[in-house]
Amino acid sequence: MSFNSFAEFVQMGEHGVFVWSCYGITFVVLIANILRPLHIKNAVLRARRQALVQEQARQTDRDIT
Amino acid sequence: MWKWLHRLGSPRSFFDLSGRWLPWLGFLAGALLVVGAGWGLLFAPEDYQQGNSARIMYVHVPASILAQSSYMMMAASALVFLVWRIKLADIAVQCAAPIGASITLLALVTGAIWGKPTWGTWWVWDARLTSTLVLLFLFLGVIALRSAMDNRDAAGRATAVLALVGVVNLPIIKYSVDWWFTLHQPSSFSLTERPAMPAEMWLPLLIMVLGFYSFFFVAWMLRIRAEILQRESRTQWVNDLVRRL
Repeated sequence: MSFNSFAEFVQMGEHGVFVWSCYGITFVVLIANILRPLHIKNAVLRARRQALVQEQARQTDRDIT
Repeated sequence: MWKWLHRLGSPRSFFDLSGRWLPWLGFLAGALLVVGAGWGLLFAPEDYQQGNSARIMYVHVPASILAQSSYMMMAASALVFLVWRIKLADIAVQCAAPIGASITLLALVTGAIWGKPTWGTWWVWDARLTSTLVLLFLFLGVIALRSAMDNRDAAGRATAVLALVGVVNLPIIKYSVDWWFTLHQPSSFSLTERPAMPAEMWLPLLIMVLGFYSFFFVAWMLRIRAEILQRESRTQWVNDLVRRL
């Protein structure tokens, strides 16, 4: 362990702002790259399911009339 | 082998196979990044000249390496698409670009933040910094070119050519620190020589580099899968998939 206390760890000897902002930005960029495609995938699947449900409803309408 | 590769080239089987690989690869990426970052932040020694700001290395160096490698992988996919017309390769080019752009931006931003306490400035028009900025513009160019063209086939070919032409920038980035010796330090690593830093520093760095690579493959696969669903949303197998959900 390179630090004696938690406060020392946070301060990083004058460089805390630089070190922590780098790690923070990295975290945000990596997470965004994982969440974005998952979001797109869910949106596509949801849209497709709606289209299928509508199609089904139209089909049943036609069958009844 | 060829049969297997051919099967992998079909979007549908890639979707199935990648779905099986993803949990393992995702776990590997997460574990490497957590271990590497924890080691780099907590246990690695501080640099005798730079103090604790040297800990930025554990995110800046992997991001910079991945920025260039992701371009190389995008260009390789572009070549595969131009030569063999494999649809999946075109999807791979399209999906690598936004990830590559964000990682290149990350390399530039963390570099700037590291530069402030170390060089006393956020930015200089140093050869390596400038050529990395050009790399970012190449990624953005690939994204912009595709979104500017309506015809998917023409857009695929045009972006593939642009991606391939941009490869000339990669050796410029690599040798920039040797050709124009300005502010950015030359690499402390090579495949053939012993690293110029102690093991307590290069081991966590190596773990972070591997973690970034695994992360890239996870993010790339996720994007490719989403794009496959989008492009094939009217096919029978996607309909079956939606019904099963």
